[in-house]
Amino acid sequence: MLLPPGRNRSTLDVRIVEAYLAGAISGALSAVMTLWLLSGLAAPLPWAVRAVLIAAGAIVVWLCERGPLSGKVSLPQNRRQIPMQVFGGGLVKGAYRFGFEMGTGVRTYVPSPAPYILLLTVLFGRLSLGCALLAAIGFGLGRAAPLMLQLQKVDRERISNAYLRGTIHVAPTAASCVVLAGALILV
Amino acid sequence: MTQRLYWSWLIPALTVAGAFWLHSDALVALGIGMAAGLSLAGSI
Repeated sequence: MLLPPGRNRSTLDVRIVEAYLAGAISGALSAVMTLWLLSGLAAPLPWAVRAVLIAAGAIVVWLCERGPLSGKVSLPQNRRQIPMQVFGGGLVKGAYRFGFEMGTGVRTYVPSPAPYILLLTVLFGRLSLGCALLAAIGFGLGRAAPLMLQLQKVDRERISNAYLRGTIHVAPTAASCVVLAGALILV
Repeated sequence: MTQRLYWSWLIPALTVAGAFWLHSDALVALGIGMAAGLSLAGSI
């Protein structure tokens, strides 16, 4: 847990959240820019082929993560927690490093199909540089949102529980549909 | 509290829908990024 329990937040807590947000966006930018550069290889494909690749890929990803192939076919992901050593240089620096690793989306567990569909979108969507950057910023913002919410004077345990329930049931599939719909608009 | 469950996909969904209505590829990109990021929100 990056923030200590309690409802009264200090300046240090705000700096931790800012560092985590900056790290998450930086990590997402680095991952998305790498994919965006690779996406040039798919650029010659006609839009219909790219749309089919994204849609078919999204279906396969959903089947593997949430459907009948769940547990039988595993998608590539780093099945480990981010090591505590990232906090070696202090809480604020550690929050940045932790956020960076979370933002890349490849350094820890990925319990939802949506990031894979975003990956397919960046690879095959032939996004403009601006759109790719905004997708990365959106990913970083989304990744940091739960921590930003904890700066509010609310019961963090209830928020965490709500998110955890959402992660397990409806939210990942709904989020995947949103990403797929957006991808098909952009392609 | 149950309403919070839907934040993780409803806000991005509304962003994407609004962006589609506004013909803004930039907002669509932001929305799908948010949706993907928020879908992992339970893991922190």
